[in-house]
Amino acid sequence: MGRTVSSITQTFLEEKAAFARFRRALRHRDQQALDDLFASARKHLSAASYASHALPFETFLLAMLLEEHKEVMRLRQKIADLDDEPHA
Amino acid sequence: MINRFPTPLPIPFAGSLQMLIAPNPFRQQVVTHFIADLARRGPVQVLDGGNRFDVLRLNRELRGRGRDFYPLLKRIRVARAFTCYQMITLLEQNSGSKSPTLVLNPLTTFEDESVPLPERLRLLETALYWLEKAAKHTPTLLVLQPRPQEDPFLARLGEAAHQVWAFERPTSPKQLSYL
Amino acid sequence: MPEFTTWLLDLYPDPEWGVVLWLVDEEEGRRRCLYHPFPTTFYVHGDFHRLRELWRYLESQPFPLQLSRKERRDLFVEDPIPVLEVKATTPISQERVFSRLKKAFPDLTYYDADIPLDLRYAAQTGTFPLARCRVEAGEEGEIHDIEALDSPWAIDPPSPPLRVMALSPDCNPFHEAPRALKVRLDERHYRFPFHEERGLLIKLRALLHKHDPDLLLTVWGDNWLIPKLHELEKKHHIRLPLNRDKGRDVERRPERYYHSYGGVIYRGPQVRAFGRLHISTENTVMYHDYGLEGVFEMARVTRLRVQTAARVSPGTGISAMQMLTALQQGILVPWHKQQAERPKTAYHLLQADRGGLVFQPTIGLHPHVAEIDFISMYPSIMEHFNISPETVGEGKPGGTYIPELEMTIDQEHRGLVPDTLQPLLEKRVKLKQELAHLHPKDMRYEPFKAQASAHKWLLVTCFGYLGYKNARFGRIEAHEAVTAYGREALLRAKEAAEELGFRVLHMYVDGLWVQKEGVQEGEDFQPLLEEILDRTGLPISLDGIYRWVAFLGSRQDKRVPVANRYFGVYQNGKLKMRGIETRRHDTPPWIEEVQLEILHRLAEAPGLESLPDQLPGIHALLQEELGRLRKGEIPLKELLVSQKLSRELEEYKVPSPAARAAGQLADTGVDLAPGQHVRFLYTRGEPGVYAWDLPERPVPSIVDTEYYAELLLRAAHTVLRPLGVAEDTLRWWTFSNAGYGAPPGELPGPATQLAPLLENPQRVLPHLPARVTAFNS
Repeated sequence: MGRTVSSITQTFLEEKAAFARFRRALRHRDQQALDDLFASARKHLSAASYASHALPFETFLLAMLLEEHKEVMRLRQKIADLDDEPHA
Repeated sequence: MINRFPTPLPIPFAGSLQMLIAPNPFRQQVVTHFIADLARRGPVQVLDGGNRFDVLRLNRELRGRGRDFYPLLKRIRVARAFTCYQMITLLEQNSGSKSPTLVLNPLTTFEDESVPLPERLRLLETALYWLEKAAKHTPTLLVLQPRPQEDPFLARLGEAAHQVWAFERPTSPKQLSYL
Repeated sequence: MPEFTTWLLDLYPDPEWGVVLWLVDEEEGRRRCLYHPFPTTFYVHGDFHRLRELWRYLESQPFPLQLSRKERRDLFVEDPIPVLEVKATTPISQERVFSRLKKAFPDLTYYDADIPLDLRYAAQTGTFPLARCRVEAGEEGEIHDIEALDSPWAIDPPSPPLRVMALSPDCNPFHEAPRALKVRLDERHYRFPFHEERGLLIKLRALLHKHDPDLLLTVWGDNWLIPKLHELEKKHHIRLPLNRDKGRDVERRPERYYHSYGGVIYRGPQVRAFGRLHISTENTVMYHDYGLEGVFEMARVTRLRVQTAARVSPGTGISAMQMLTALQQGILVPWHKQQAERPKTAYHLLQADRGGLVFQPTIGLHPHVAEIDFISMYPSIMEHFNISPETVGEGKPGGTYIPELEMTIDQEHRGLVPDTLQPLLEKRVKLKQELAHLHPKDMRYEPFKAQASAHKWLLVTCFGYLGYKNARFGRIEAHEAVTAYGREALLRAKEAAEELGFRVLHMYVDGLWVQKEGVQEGEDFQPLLEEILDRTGLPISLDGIYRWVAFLGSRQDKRVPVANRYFGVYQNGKLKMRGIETRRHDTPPWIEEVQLEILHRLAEAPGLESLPDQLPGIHALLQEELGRLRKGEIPLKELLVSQKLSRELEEYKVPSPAARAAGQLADTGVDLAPGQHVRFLYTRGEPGVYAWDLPERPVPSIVDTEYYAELLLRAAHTVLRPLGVAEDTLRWWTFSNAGYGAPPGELPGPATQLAPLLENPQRVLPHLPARVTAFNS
């Protein structure tokens, strides 16, 4: 009984498929970047499932931003570490 | 593939039991449109017999129509039935409802082979009794997927309905092989 | 009036006597057959006028019936409801009356109408299968009084002294024609050739008469042996006393298959005996898991006849237990479940229609990880929070409100489901505690383990059963409430862990995997366990501490973590794996064994840092196994794939390998039903498979060795990837007949020479845990 609402993975795949035309019209490099974004959203499917937001795509966008921000923080730290190193 | 809802169907009116038969994805689109339209006017009841009610799709539809998204979502009440006995209970409980009612795939629950056929046909009569009772004071629409003409359940519903909207899958025109 | 102590072996209805009981006495090995007059009642509810018509109809029936107006409790209705009570003189006449009524008055509501006799008897007398009983009986063999002297919830109850006769053909009759019937009685073995048909029947008959077994324990008894013996009996006009009850033939039920939870379940034919028990082990649910002891336990706690308990799913067992609770509490058991879902808003549907909480794992290798599990989480939630079909809903004053579901749970009246589960949960906990202290060689150890296992299946099933559409005491809202509590409990556990400085690596429905720098010993996790217990109210235990554990990514995209796909080694060296090839039922045994061997070699490494030292040995192992494969040295049986047919053959659009193999069998007249397994080999060319059960044995040269080599490579890669071994490199390394880091034909040297083999050596040859963490991030 139950399971009327499609699973989060199913929803994710549908949302991704809805952008197939967009992806197709991108340059190859941009396609790869887009794929990366979707892959990073996918890392948070469990949290998206728990959130059960009425519009799941908004959660996916936020998950992409989250991963991007983590990357920014990582790079920021790297730059800070480089600055700290004594220059030869 | 039909992208837009072609001709607006009349919103079902009180006093009539209406039936819509259409293949997917058209059926899903019609249902979504209908529910979204009705929700803008007031509360809506959805009774789902096929475990197919696509709430996420409805959300997107509602979102596309304006800002009052969450209040609309709360106007739509859904209840599911997984057996024909449950379907009858739902119809009975809903028979006094004042809100327009959509009954999705009511016959799916009647396909249960663990219930003998005569019993299922008898239960269908009970279901119709409650449906007709509800339809007297609130618009009631049955939504079904196409079934064979000789299906006794469909035939019986067809007899009882005041109006039947049947859609067939368009025979696709000869296509360019390229697309 | 004679009074004696005995064991209840079996019971069944009798048209004349009510109930027939078979009893096993303690002394002198005496067996008794007694009967118990058993008037049987059911109830009808409905429109007043229809009930009057019914009354008149019943009075015109040729059965002696007692009719009266009563008030009884429907679980879902606040006040007792008026019902017509129909009392028949025997269970069989009750069945007959009811089968007429349901046709003549289908619009009325029936209660207690289709309850199995074993449950009615248990509810009325307090006895249960295999119970030790005190019986008072008359001269004619009629029981006046019967009383159980122990309880199904007792730990280590005395067991009845059963005489067992084991019967089996000398090989699997579905693969080749058996030559002989093997019979075992205690330590004595007999072998009767099938070609001496008359001799076999006469000797078997003599053994049955002489030893008079209580239990016939067969292999392929339901679907081959008993039907075969039956055929021989008819041919030679010799009757075997398979039953003790001479007035009856054994009961044969045909095979069937049905849909359940989206899959197809196949139930083979069944043969049940009267006066003895017949258990056919290949047709006994979970026999491989809990054996005879588990079957007996299943019968004791569900109160279903042993022969039934052996053959039904745990769902039927749980249903029986719930019906029993209802009968004991005077609650009506509906014939049809009618409760429908309460309407919820589209918004709440989205919130409610979800499963357990999952927290995707952090991909990679992690040292010193503890796995913490909620004990029987869902049943504990039902029991602890009083979740039952009748306790959830709206307008329960004094109840607990769950905003997420817009639902209240009654806390004033104890629910039927929690009442049913409570003794089961308590017994399971007691058994677990006993097991923790017992030596594995202790006589009680194996029986306790089997019993605990039977309980586990019942408990695991009771949650699904709550949401099952045909469950009489199921309700979707109750099912949703359980998952909502489960998600909340797991999140609270995560918060507790994070606040205490743990890193949560993975969560899956009822368990979490945590890690903290410097924390490695059991007692170090105690404060966390206590904190979680405090915050959730649910029992939790430390399942174990891993020396290391590897969480795996998806096969399609290694960046994407997949829940419940991991392997690891506990501190005691024991392996645990989920979701990888060795755990899959369709993996050929050879692949399974090689993967397991690789895991064992990894487990030999004392710690994470020394894992790469195992690579040369693993390389050699793979080379050797591939060599055996190519030389045709792997027995074909080891290469068999076993897959379940998901639908009828004609329904496959593109036939899967399993469907193609089933098609080959169909051509020889062997039809498999959906839900049955088909065993086959992958072969060269078309059609790419060879069904194992075809009459002709395949020649080894048809095996598609390259495909099996590929399967092996994939299985090896699954467990080596967390070490940083890239698939392409592994492929090259394995398929070129050379060790990387060493000249062709020689094994590679120490691990350090393997460096180029790895995707990023720095990440894999760490000697400092910090680098391992870098790999994980």
